[in-house]
Amino acid sequence: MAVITTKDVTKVYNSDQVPVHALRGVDLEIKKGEFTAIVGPSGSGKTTLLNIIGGLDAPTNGRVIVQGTDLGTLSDSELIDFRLHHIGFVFQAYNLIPVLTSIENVSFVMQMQGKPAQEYNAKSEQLLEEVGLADKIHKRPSELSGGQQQRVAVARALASKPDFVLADEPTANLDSVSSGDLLDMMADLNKKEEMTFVFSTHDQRVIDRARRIVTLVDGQIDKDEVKD
Amino acid sequence: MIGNIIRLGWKNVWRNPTRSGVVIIAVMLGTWAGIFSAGFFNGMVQDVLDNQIELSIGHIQIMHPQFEDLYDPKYAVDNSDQVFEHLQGQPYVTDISVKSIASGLAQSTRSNFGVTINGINPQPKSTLAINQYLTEGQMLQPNDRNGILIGNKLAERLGLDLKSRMVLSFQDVDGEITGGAFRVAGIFKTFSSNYNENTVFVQRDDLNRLQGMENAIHNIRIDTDNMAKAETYADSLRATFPSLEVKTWRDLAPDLRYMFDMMDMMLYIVMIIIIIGLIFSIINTMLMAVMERTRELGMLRAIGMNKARTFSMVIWETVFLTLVGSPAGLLLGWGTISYFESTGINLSAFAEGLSIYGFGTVVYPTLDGMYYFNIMLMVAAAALLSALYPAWKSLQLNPVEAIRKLN
Repeated sequence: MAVITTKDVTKVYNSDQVPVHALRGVDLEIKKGEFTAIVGPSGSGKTTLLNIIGGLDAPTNGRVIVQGTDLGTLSDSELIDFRLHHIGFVFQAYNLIPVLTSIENVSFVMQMQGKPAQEYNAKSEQLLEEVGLADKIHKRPSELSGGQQQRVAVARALASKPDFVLADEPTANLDSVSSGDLLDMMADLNKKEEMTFVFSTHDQRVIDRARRIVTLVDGQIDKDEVKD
Repeated sequence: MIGNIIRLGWKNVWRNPTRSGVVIIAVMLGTWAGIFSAGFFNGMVQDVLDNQIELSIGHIQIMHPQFEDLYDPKYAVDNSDQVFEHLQGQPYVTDISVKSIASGLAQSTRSNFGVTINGINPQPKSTLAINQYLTEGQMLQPNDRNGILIGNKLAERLGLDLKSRMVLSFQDVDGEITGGAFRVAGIFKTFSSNYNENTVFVQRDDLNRLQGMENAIHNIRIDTDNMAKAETYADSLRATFPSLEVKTWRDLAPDLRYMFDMMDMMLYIVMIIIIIGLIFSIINTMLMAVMERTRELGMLRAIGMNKARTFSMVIWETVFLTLVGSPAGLLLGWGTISYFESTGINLSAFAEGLSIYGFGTVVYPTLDGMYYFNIMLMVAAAALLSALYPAWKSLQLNPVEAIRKLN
């Protein structure tokens, strides 16, 4: 069953009165458990597609359906709530809350979901253990390396038990060792828990590990390859 | 969740300890300045009021209804014995004193000046209040015929010293101008230069004799156990003696009453001005705090923090920023006022200017507890008010724009 479906999605930005066609009729289906990389040159529409799939931006035309819900039918507040319960985000710049410790950053999403303290504390500890940071749960982001911060960000993205995780250039700020470790960890989570990951990336290491590669060129899908 | 939002708000306050510290200190000093200036001016006005009441007004005065219009000596309190008897039976009365009063002219060989002549019995305590202001000579003695107490300003104007002779001219009971020679028995210097210039004291018997009256009482002054209840006591006296004029200190000194009422308002105006300054300082700081966290706020919105939570997080941050400094300022203000309430603040360097307005040279700041409470409410309201704009601004953030900044 498709977790994400986009139907003829277009996005036009009106920049200085000149329309910029960021996406031109993108049809895409991503199934549960896929490990997908959206690749393409700069300006090809990768980030725009990720934003639209994540409900952060609305398409100019077309529909985005996540787990059977058409995002276009949701109000602003419903969309925020939908993101909270169904989508995990990993950003290039980690973007943890600097005044909170690792465990507090991870549990924050579950607190917003209204989970009881006992549950979110136990789950946060478990997630941090899974991403290999059991000994860093009380460290603040400033006390962690870039790779470790991104691991906390992944744990945070998984904390809400999302239907899928969107990761926009997750390895862009990491060295090769940290990138490799992070990708191993995400691949492991994908395999063990059948977590769906969608990356936008330029990074060849991500592309090498992805099992499906969607190539965007000028806002259109140029290639859609599934590795054996 | 609200507990966690509050906790996060508190932690956010300390992201930039220097900046938050500066705002907290500004709030503290602003609150302190408001409290202290209010206490200072309140103490000044209270001092004038207390001095005037002690020296000349008392809490309640009883007189003939027509006496005040013309100061005509024939309008004396006829049934003064009956009034006395009644007052002595009232538990709230702490002191009673009587006066004959005339409006006249004081003359010396050098000059003359219009004065209010108070004919007093030197015994009762309240009329002796002038005793504490005597700088030369002594209080009038019962056997000291035609002695007079004058203020230092009048002495200066008329060129009089102790034991100098002077003449008082005024109206007698038949409306004729009469007068008599008096010898300066004492010179006083009160807090009010006007009073020192236009008020004299003689023995009531001496004044009555020259007015052609015997044992005339024009004014009965009453001090009570509680000046705030003066109006209630006066109402009961009005009911008992409908033919007499009964006035409270508020009627007798409207200038003081207005000053007192105006000061009450001024205390709040001063505080409001300070709070407005603080509001802008807090808004400025919070806007900076919100603007520099665009990325983070965008991320929070992206991962599912709704508008209500984002709004309340910024509100709590602002409230914390304000409410840490404010109680400290209140405490500091209370401490300063308590200290100076007993020691006083010496303003003798400005004595000349202050005495024109009847202010004393030592100010004892004082502030009612209710005022502290009201200030706390005002600061809390200011905190909420300051929080609104930055919190609203945080909601205007478009997560997509923030995401672009993220990457």
